[in-house]
Amino acid sequence: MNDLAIECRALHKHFGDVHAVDGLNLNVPRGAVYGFLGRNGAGKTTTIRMLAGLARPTGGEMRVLGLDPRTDSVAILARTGLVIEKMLIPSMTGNDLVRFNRGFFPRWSDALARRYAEVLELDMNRKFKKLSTGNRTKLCLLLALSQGAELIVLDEPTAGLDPVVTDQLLRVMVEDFANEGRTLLLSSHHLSEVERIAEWVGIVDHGKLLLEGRLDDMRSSFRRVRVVGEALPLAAWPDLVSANRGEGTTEYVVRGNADAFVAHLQSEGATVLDATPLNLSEIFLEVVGRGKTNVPVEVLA
Amino acid sequence: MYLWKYWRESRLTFGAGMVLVGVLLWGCCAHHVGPPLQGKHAQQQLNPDQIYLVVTSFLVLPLGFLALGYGSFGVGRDLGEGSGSFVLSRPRPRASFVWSDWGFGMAQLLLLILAANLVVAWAAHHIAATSGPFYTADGTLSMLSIFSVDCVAGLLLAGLIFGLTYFASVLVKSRGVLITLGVVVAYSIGKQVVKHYWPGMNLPDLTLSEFSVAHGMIIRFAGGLGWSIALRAALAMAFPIAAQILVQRRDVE
Repeated sequence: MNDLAIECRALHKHFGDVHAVDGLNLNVPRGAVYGFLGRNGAGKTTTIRMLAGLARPTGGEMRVLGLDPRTDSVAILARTGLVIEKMLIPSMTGNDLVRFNRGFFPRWSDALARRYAEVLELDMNRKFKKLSTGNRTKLCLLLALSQGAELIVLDEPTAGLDPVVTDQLLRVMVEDFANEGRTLLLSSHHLSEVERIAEWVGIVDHGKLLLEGRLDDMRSSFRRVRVVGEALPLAAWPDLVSANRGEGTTEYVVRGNADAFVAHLQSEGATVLDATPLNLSEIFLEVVGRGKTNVPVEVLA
Repeated sequence: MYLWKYWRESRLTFGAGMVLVGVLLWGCCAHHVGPPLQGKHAQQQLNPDQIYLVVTSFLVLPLGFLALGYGSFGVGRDLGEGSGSFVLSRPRPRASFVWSDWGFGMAQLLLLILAANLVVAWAAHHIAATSGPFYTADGTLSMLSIFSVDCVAGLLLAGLIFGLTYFASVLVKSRGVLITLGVVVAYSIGKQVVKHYWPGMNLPDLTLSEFSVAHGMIIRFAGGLGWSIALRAALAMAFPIAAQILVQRRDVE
């Protein structure tokens, strides 16, 4: 059995001249909590829609739980919990939606649904259209989590939620889901949340995967190096991600071999002030670039 | 469970249809529908065929609106309301959503058509129980024949409007009803225009026009009725098939 829950190879999705997904490669290991990160319009949602069989790829290959969404979407959907649009049937109450949904999923758990309704403080007798944005999101999550799925795919699940509910939700996802060896793909802008629960991270921009790997590996390999010196190089180092020359100092970000890089700079006559690790947010900003000297980053693992 | 969802959406329309049938029944009961009048009053009584023709003609419009309503439910409505991603990501073939909607909608319409026609047939039959299996003794169509073909005609009209609205709703989301109304109005006007400028050319009616009528009596089936039914049935079936293909191939937003 393939050890990947989701696998994409050179995946493309074009809308006329717009290349929403442009040769994306993605590897989500089975049993992992995977943070799928990218700016607005980076291609995250389009990728998720293709994985769910809601959109057809223009080109490339993809497998979800070992199956092709183009031909086996029913089998995939039976084993996958999805939260994409956060728009359910407006005229139905939470209880109605549970009743509607349970018939589609043999492993559906009413007990879990009741528990999530309690934990997430949801009024299940209120119509969906009358719920607040946050409560709508919670109801979508309740339905996805109660169906006993092997794979959960969540697109911006915490958008519109207050910090308390976000915290409850992250706990639920980790304690009830990820710890059971099931796979969780989480697309989010909230890097601190992803950093809190994800083991793996993939960063996309302009429809391409820029970086993918274990979060711990990323944290240990990325370093910001600040140096003082004259006429220091701005490129020509294989692991260099970015280089910025400021007043008196030059700041480098490298994605590996920081010690060798520091030694190299010192040999060039530079004085190294510090070499500090980056958190996920800083790594993300460096990888997607902020208009600075930016070197393409490849897959780490 | 999916049928339950369609039922939730359509139950008010079904209720409205049943109210209409109730009004029809009340009307029949309240207006001297009973044993044939005798003596000088016999002249005032409508014959069964007249009752059938008048009442069922008036039923065409409400039936059209009911079919319009049924066509606006289901997948097209979900796409219009933004819940298409949720519904169509339930683990079932997309075609099954379309055919569940269509099948259940048509079943409800069939029930309403049968109920309305039964009321009218009962009323007409009550006046003059002269029916044989297909033709009466005087060679005109029997009540059973009129009832059967009128049900088919109603079903074809309902199927045509329902199918077109359903397809249009899937195609352009919430504007399906407007498109169907536009098509029906445009066709009716176009038919009159053609009749005016090319009198020899006669476009078919939206309704089946299934009987040949003389002096208020239904004499026999209209000519080419089999072909008319077959063509309308083919057209009525083309729309859900087109809707299925569209739902299967389109990206869901």
